[in-house]
Amino acid sequence: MSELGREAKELIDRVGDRDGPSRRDRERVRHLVSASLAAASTAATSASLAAGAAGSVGATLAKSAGLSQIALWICVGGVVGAAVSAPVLLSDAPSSSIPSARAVASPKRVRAPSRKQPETTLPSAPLLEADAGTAEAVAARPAPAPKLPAAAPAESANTAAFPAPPPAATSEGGLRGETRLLEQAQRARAAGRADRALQILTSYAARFPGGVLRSESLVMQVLCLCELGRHTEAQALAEQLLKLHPESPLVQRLSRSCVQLPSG
Amino acid sequence: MTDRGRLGNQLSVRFAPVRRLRAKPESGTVPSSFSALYDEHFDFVWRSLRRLGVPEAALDDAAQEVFLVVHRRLSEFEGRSSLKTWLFGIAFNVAQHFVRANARRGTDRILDLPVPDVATPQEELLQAEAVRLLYRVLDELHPDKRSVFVMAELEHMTAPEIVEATGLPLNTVYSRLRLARRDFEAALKRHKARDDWRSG
Repeated sequence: MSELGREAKELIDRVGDRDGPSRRDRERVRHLVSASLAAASTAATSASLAAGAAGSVGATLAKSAGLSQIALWICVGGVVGAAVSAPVLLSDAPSSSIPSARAVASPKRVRAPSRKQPETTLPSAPLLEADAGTAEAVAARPAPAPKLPAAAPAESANTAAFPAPPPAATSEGGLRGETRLLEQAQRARAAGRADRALQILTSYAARFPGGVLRSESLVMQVLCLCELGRHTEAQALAEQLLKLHPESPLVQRLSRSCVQLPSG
Repeated sequence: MTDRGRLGNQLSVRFAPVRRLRAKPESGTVPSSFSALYDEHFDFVWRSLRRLGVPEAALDDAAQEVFLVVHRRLSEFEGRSSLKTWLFGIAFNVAQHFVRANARRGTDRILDLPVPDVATPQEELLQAEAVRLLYRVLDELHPDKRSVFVMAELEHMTAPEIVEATGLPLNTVYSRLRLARRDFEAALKRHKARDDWRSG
């Protein structure tokens, strides 16, 4: 079987595993899986309670009518239903406690919100904490109203608490969207409208807080501030940029601007 | 019902049972909890789904589906195979549904990549470009060939492992891989020539 050529191998090596998910992706899907499993757990509990009730009624009916076969049939339903109370999942319970496919209702996927929209907190998120308890407790908790999440969750491997996912910041258009905004800012600046360029760059920073082109954006912001005579702000921003990206060749661009860079 | 909802139902009803695996016992280690399994293998599952051609907009749903299936079937995993191969088999089955659904709808792929951990924006851009080029080339492969190519060349799975994960006959794996490599090389050359022409 023929091997891959050098160029193809180089490309694959260069990519490595850099096409993996972000922490945000990991937390968002964890939340969805948790919600689906909790929903299945709650549904199973309801089925159990309903089957148990049916069992009692069935026994009474059977006694009065002398139909022992009916009582047996309905009570079997009750026992099977009672075995279906699933534990709270995606917690750190040992894997031996993971129910088999027959013992838990098949969880249905919770529909993922579009990553292009700001995400809302799914009501089941707090259900999956380590002390969440039984499925009954899960069912009894009120669902909080949807709300916008506050900040990115701290990285926590193998944690049992599942915080609400932060909004997807860079999904709309990805690099394409970033490039488009920076081009607009550059055009505005070239047309002598540094104030307008600054507005666009501020909007870029809000829309792409972890953007790939954030260094370029910061450099352009410094240049715009210089052109607007806002030297103090330009200097402060340049110093911030230097702290974030001291080795960036883009910083050299600032040596020809109004800011003073530390020598050496 | 939405397309996604319909697809979810189809998956629940029609999902093929994960085949019992027959690899070396020492290669199958199951983490101590489902949560630990998720933490350990989420990146692999997500990346595999993306590489197998699941569109960005459907990645959340597909990854969720994989872990729901894993949860449902973990008790069937007997540790006679690599857990990674077992997971890939599930991801492969789920991906097939999403890829087919996407082919019917004809949606575009816009990569939403994480911010890479590299020193300069230039390096970031170069790496982002490499990832995009890889996916542009992968997108040109037929889904059947793409799957085998991804498993062999990107996940470094052996042919017997691919057989385990997909259920394909060994000869089919070999022939698809040969054709996939040929098509990948040709598509890469085309893209490079096009990029060179545009930049030059």
